[in-house]
Amino acid sequence: MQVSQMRWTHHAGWESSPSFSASAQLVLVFSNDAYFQEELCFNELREKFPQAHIVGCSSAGNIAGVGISDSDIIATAVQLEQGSVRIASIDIESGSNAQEIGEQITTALAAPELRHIFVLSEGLNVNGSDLALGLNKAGLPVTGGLAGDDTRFGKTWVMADAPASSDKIVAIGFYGDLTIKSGCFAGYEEFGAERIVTKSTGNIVYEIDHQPALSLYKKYLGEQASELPASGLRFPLSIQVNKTEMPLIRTLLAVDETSGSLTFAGDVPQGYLCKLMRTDLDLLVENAGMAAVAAQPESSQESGLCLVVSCVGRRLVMGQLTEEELEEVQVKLGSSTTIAGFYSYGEMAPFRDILQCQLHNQTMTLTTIYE
Amino acid sequence: MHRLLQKQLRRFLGNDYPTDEKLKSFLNIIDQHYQDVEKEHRLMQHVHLINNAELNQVNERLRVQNAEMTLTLLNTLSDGVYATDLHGRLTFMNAAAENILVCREADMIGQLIHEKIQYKHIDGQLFSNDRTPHLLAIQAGIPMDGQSHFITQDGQFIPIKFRARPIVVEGSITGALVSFQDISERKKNESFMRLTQERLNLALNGSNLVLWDCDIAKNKLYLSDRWYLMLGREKKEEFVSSDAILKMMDSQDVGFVKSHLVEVLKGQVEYFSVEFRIPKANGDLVWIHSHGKVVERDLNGRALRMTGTQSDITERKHSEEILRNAKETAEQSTQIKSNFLANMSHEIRTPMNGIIGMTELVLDTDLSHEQREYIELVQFSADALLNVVNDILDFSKIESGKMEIEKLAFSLKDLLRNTLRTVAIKAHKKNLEIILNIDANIPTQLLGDPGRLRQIIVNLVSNAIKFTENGEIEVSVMRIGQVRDDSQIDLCFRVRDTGIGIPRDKFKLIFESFSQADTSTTRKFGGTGLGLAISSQLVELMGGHAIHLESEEGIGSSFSFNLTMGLATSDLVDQFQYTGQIAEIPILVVDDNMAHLQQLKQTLEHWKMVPTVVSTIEKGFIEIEAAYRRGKPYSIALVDSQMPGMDGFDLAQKLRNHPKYACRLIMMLTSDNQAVHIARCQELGIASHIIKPIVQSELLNAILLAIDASNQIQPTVTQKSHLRSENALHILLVEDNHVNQILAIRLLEKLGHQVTLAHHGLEAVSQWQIGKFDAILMDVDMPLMNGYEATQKIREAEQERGGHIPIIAMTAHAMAGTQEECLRNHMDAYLSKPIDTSALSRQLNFVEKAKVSSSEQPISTARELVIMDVDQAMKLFGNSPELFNEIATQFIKDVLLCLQQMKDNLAQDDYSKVLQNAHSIKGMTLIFSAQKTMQALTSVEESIGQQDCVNHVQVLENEIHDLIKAIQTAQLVL
Repeated sequence: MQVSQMRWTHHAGWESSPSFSASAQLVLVFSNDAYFQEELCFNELREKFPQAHIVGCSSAGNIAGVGISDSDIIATAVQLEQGSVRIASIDIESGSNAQEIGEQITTALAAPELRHIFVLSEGLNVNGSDLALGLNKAGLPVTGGLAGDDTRFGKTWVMADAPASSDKIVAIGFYGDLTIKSGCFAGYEEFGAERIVTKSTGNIVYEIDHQPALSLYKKYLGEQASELPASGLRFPLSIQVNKTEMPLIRTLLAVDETSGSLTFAGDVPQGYLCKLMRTDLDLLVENAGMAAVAAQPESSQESGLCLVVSCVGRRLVMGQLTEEELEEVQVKLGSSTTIAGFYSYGEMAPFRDILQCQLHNQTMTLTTIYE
Repeated sequence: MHRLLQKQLRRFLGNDYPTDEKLKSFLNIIDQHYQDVEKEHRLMQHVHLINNAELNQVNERLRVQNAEMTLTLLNTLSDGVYATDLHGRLTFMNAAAENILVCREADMIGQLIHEKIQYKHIDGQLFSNDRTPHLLAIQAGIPMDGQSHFITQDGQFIPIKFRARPIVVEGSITGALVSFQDISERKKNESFMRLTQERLNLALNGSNLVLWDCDIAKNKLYLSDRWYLMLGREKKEEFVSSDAILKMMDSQDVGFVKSHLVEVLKGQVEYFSVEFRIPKANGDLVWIHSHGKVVERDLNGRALRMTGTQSDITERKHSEEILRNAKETAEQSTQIKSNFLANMSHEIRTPMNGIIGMTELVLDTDLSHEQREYIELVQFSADALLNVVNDILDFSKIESGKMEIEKLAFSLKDLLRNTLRTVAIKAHKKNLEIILNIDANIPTQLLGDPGRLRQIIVNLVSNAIKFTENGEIEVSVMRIGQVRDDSQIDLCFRVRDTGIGIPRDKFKLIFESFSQADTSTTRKFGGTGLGLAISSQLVELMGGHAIHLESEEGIGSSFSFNLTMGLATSDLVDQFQYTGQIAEIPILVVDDNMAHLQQLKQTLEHWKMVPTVVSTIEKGFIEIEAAYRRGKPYSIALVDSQMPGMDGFDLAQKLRNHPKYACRLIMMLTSDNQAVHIARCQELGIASHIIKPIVQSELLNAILLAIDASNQIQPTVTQKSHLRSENALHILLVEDNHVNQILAIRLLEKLGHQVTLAHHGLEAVSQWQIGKFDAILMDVDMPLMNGYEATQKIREAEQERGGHIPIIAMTAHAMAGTQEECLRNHMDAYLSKPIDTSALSRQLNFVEKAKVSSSEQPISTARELVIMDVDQAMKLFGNSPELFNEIATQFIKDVLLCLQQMKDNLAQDDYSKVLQNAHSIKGMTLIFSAQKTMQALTSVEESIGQQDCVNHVQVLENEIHDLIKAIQTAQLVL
């Protein structure tokens, strides 16, 4: 496997292309710069990588190795020796059902050799929980993430062998003799009283313990309430149907002052138990390391690719120390593994390899590919 | 810039540290981090405070909820509960304690509880504080249970049972909690129980009863002492096992007792009640009646305990047996008596059949006046004798409780009309008028036993005719009250005459068996004197009160009875399909409305009438004329009163001018201007009318009325002229009695039919197999093989060879259910002996009609027949090609042999052999479903003795060769 990364910046444009660019099969592109949205951006990439599937999305921070950058574009070209890739992309029409889209994608990619699906989706309007349900029909491991828009929560973009568009879901199918593993850990801990989601529809929560959901967050955020919804990322919500089921983490996406409701990056069913969550730097870094261990190759000498989808919420908490989580991953995976990825509005992965893919928030989700 | 960073910069670099751009941007990054960290710190502090407050709130809420819950729990308890501190001062008391002790917690809190509720004993001595439940528990440091007494605040001593526990908080005792129950009730109950036990023991000792009590799980049975006394045995143990008792029991009874016991244990039967025998110590058997029930079950319903009593019933058993034997003997003799009567009835009816039938035949011949008079007297005597036999049979049936009352739908009007018609002849001979008066409010269709009702009416009317010399006899039916529950109606039947009357002192006597008002009456008027007794009992059997009599000597009598009848909903029409009253009668329908015409046609055809429909009066009149000329005149025409051009009344007018057509009209009126039209109908002498829209039952009534009318005009043509050659039937008569044979043959021949005789069922079956008959008249009781068996055999054979020959049963059995028995045995109809000529003729008419209609249908031609139905054949072979092969090979060999023999027979004119061989071939061909061969065989059979027989044999030969080819092909394919 050959992997090479190149950066685009406003002042310098694209760095030079790797030697194998003509035959690269896959180029992953992550960016939080407006140039990513332009047709020219894709055309340039297409010219450099005539054979490759060019796939990517807008982000809340771009990852190349252990570095995080903003206002640029990171393209990672991949040349597989054993395996092959195919992509399937679907334009989302208004009113379309995310679960059905997930099923359509799995049908499009289905083949006996299919090993893994990596999905990138529009990050604000698609119901990630439903999408995960549909993708699970493949009966294969599925990972991926929801596109980001820094901390603006305005509009996200997805590129799939065409100039980036706002209403798209793309999935990469990995076929053949590949070893693909994943790890997904958060590093948040519950605190305070246990509450019940008393009124919600889909991913909008109106009342918690019969009180307007927004007032709970305002109370806890104090002076930072004015910075909602971004400051709300500090307190994700842990939800579970009952005490025996594994809790899921939900990140706040938006608030509605008039109805006092909160919109989360995933479904929060009515009647679920919920608890506020908090974290600190050490916990986050430690869990990033656990994710890496889960996705670790058999031997640290192997060269491969690690796709990172990490939550924008983590970056907000860690601030200038965010890169520590990437350094931890690199240490655990070894220096022969190239890290590429982005900070997201949601991560898709099973908790363990055997479990079904679910939508997560606040996690560090790793997908490692080795030949 | 963050204040700490400013301070640090000043400390390390002095107040005026240099600020070049590079350092500035570096410091900015550091400053940002300082700000972030502090912001995070503030957020976390804030969160901590909020969270703390929230959790405190939750805690407090839980604490209050807990306390409330505890209080609720304690106050819900029926036991009294109080708590004290270490010194015995009250800290809490629940509601039950307040109730028991007649005090309020508020007044007692903080007080020493000993001084309030336990300060002295009942005898007045002081109660030591140390002995109080709470101090006992506090001192012992462990739970203490016991009994004591408390003193209520109104000074009463109450016995209590208590349970006291030290309250331990973090290892040290802080007080005590005491729960207690007022046990005064229990104490009372205990003494009551003791008393009850004493009484029970006294009672048991005084009576003959053994008390038993069984612990089912442990299989321990307690039996009171009397048990051992009863059996003369010694009591060895307190408990025995139930198996031990079962083992002692007489072996005949064990099975039943066990299975009954299981039923009771399972709860299928509530009470255990058995009688069994058990030997005494000296070997004598004692009859025991054991009675009891399960008194305790576990949650799963399994029986835990059973108790009951046992008593010695040896004496009773003994007398019961005597009674039973007596009853059996009595029943047996009754059975013998009624069997004898039934047999006698049959034995008498059989010769009677001969007498009555032959008499009828003789009367149909040319006789001298004198001879006719004698024979008529014979007929009269025979009829009378038959009546006597019938009466006796009915009487014996009623006596033995075997008279069954049926519940059938029938038309009251039709029943009474027909009934009176039969007796009317006698009345008319005496110039008596018979009036039928039926309340118009009575529904036409009722549920009841029309046969028995008819019998009663015939009896009453016959009596009336008998005892009336001039005047009238009125039969009336009136409704009493309203229809009940939409299903029941009360009717009063009355037969009134203007006869000799009955003296008051004889009122009772005449209803008694074998008696009439005057013994001389019997001699003068004849009869058994059973009629009224039978009628009266029949009324009672039908649910009415006895027949009521009002009479005045010389003026007349009136017999009346009330009956409750059900309302029937079934279609009146069905009944008439079988009565044949209107069947085959040609009827002309004139109406300008085509739809109406069509509908009427369908209805009339449904009733088996022969309707002709025309749309104008002119056409109608032409049709009436034409029919008259054809020799088949219409006796009835159904005409619409309102038509364009000539209408129904015009036709009536025209017909008045041509009385020879003798056609009665039924006028269909519209409901408007009814009165005028009805008046016109009467004026023109129109037989009957109906109002549109037409209700089927009304139409039927109108037709019946019109037929009555036309019968009156035109006396029924004597049956004897009914000699017919066309549609003559070939009938197989199966009858063992010689007289009846001759009678039936004469009757049938008189009706124009050809008769073959078989003397018993066996002969009938073989005759049927070789002959070709249109119907079988089958006696039921015959030697060798009875009618039912013969029918069974024929029906079985028909299953294979197809077809269905009508079999009409003839039986002298007049017992109820005979008809059902015949139909159940696959017979088609039933005639009771003595044979009613008209009923026989009617049944045969149906057969004739069926024959005509089937011969009208084109006989399925040979073209449609198949050489061999392979699928059908394979089914018969159980779909086994091997079996088919084997039988086919054998068949080909045999059939060619038979065919050759048949041809030889034919050459020798030995037709019986030809027939025999045809039968053999038929038998072996049947299984191949070879329709063409079968048809050819039938043709050969039919042409036996005729010239063209040889041709049919030739056809048969060809068919057989075709069949063989087909079989051989099938053998290859299968």
